[in-house]
Amino acid sequence: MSTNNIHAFIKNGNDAVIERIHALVARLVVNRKAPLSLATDVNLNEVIQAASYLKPGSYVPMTPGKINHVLISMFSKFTMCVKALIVKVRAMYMPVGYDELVDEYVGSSCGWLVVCHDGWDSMIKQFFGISVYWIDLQSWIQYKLALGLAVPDGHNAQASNDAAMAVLKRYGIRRSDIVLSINDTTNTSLTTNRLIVGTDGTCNMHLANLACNHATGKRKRTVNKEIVDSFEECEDLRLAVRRMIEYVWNKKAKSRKINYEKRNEQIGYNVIKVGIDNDTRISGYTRMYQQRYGASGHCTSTLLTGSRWCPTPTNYQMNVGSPWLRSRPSYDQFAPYHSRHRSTRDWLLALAGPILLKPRLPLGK
Amino acid sequence: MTYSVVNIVLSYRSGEQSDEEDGYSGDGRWDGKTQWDHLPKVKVRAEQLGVIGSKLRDRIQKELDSYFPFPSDQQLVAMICDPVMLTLALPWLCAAGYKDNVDNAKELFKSALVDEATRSFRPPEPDAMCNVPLDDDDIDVQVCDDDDVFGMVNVGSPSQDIESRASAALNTATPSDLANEAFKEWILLKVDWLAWLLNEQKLDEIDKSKVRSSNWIYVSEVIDVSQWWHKNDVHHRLAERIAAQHLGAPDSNGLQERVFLVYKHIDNALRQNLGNAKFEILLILAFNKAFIKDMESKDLFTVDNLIASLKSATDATEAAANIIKYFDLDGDVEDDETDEGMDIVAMLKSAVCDIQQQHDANGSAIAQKRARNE
Repeated sequence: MSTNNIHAFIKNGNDAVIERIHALVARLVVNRKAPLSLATDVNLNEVIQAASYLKPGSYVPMTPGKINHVLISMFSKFTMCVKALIVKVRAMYMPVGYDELVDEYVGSSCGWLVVCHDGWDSMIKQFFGISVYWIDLQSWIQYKLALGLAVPDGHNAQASNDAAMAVLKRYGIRRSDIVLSINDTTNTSLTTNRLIVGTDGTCNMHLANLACNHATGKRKRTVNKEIVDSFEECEDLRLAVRRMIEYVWNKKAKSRKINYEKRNEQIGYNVIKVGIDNDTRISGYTRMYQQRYGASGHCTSTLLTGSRWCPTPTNYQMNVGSPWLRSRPSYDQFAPYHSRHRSTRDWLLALAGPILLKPRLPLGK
Repeated sequence: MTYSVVNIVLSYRSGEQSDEEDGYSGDGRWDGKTQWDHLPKVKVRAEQLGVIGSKLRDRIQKELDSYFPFPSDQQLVAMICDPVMLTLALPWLCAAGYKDNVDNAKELFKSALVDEATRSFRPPEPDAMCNVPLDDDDIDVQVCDDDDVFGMVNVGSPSQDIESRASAALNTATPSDLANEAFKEWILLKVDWLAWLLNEQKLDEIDKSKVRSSNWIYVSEVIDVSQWWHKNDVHHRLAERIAAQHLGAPDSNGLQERVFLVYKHIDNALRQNLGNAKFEILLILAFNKAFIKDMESKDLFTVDNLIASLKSATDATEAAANIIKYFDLDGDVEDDETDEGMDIVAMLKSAVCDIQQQHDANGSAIAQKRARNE
């Protein structure tokens, strides 16, 4: 057999193996009702590449115990890495021989870490999530990490504080490391902030949301159980806008919406509703417009802070999210839903998903 | 007042695409193929909403003034720590009537510098204090004392010991002196932003006229402050720590909301048997995916690195050596406690021997062939 024939034989064999792998991946996707994007996922391709180094027939199948073991190993590795980073960054911020007790007595703080926390209640699970921000002085990279979820004993501030500190202690974070603690505008959150770091740290997005709700009459102030700032006309306007969106969503894209919901139900996905944004997102827009408002001549806080360091003041940042999220392809698919600059067709096609890409009759009035 | 979405007035259309291409027929009927830009839209100004519009604007103004009466201390210090704001925006803000805020920001930054200098200040050690007298008079006094052995040892000529002079100056300075020096150095900062954008950030598509005219809103959008600080932190060590503390603080807890977005995708109807611990592990690993990938890329002990080293190996012996090095198997079977390790080392050793023998045999065969040809 000549060299060319050998190369051709190897190439044909390789092509056959690739076709076989593609067929197996398709079968996996179909049988497990997984999203089609799994087939093009970078991680799956890495698995296949690594498997090509295996001796044929030598693969020992994965078991639930093994995958649990791997997950725990990954998580403990993540924990250790963050813990090491914390020690390193603390050494950068804290001077040599620094005694945190001195600052505690004097009342000043040498903190460098910002903690964000919030509660989440779903139908089945309730969690208290903690995430942190800090800047590494050596590389000037801003780290934004979700550190953990805790189940507090109750919805009070003390329980939330205990849950937050338990998660932070897992990573070796001390109370003296924290410079700011941010949560929403509820009384429990404010008290939790005071317990954690000693000062108030209210989320400005939620504050803007509060201002917007009071301005439009959605929230009302009462004095002696009497509403003092009612704004019924604006409430009518708000409801009209809501009706408009519902009209676009329910009437104009009715068949696509139904198919989209059915498809997602089949593969175990949640239905992403494009209807009216939630309060947090609305508050983000409010914040964005407040920035514009401030830039037009009013010296507001957002103007002075600069947009780079606020997570969600600009339209792009508001829609796409933090850099960590942006770099994750599995969640980039949701970007078109939130983009106001996409065409209606893109918007609907993205919504309907790849299954509905076949030609359809135009949706008339 | 009632509002309707059916009777939309088609008063505005834009775009270059034809009606046939974008699926819009122009008669108010549109479908899923219609481009957003080509949809009929009406811009409604606040004044056109009548009483509601003006009242809403007043209420928003009032609420914003109530909730955001003035910038917080943290935001003011962050503004000063931003080099773009410092060099370009502060004069504009002063001219626009916000001089009080600017002065307040400077004071807060200065006090933060003093705090930081006090915290990081280390009192001079006794030995270092002995190096302080470098003037000629002091030297004479110390030299006269013949019995002072330590004094004689510590005495040095000014030309010989420049470093000790510098350290002496540092040792004699108080924390407030250091803070004042750092403050002065930072406030008088001058940066050529156009040169920075072109040379350091390598940005070509910028509006140079806006940069030259010191349009601080535009410049602040294109400048990467973290990159600037990373490059210039050696010149402002004291201010750097304050800048990192304040610039790193977010404006909201949007990140946590993003975590809950991922939460929502994991917590679906088909996965209700997940325990809390496993749920947390899945969520944290999924959300911090980019960080974990970055962390693993720095880790030497990854499969990728092993594969890369195997690919780069020129022969089987080198590949076997890479595997031994990767698994930290130094070839000493007795030191390896596990059976698997012993097996791997024995297998690799025999494989290397076989390959070497085969290589030698091939080499001798080729040599014999060459000899025959000659």
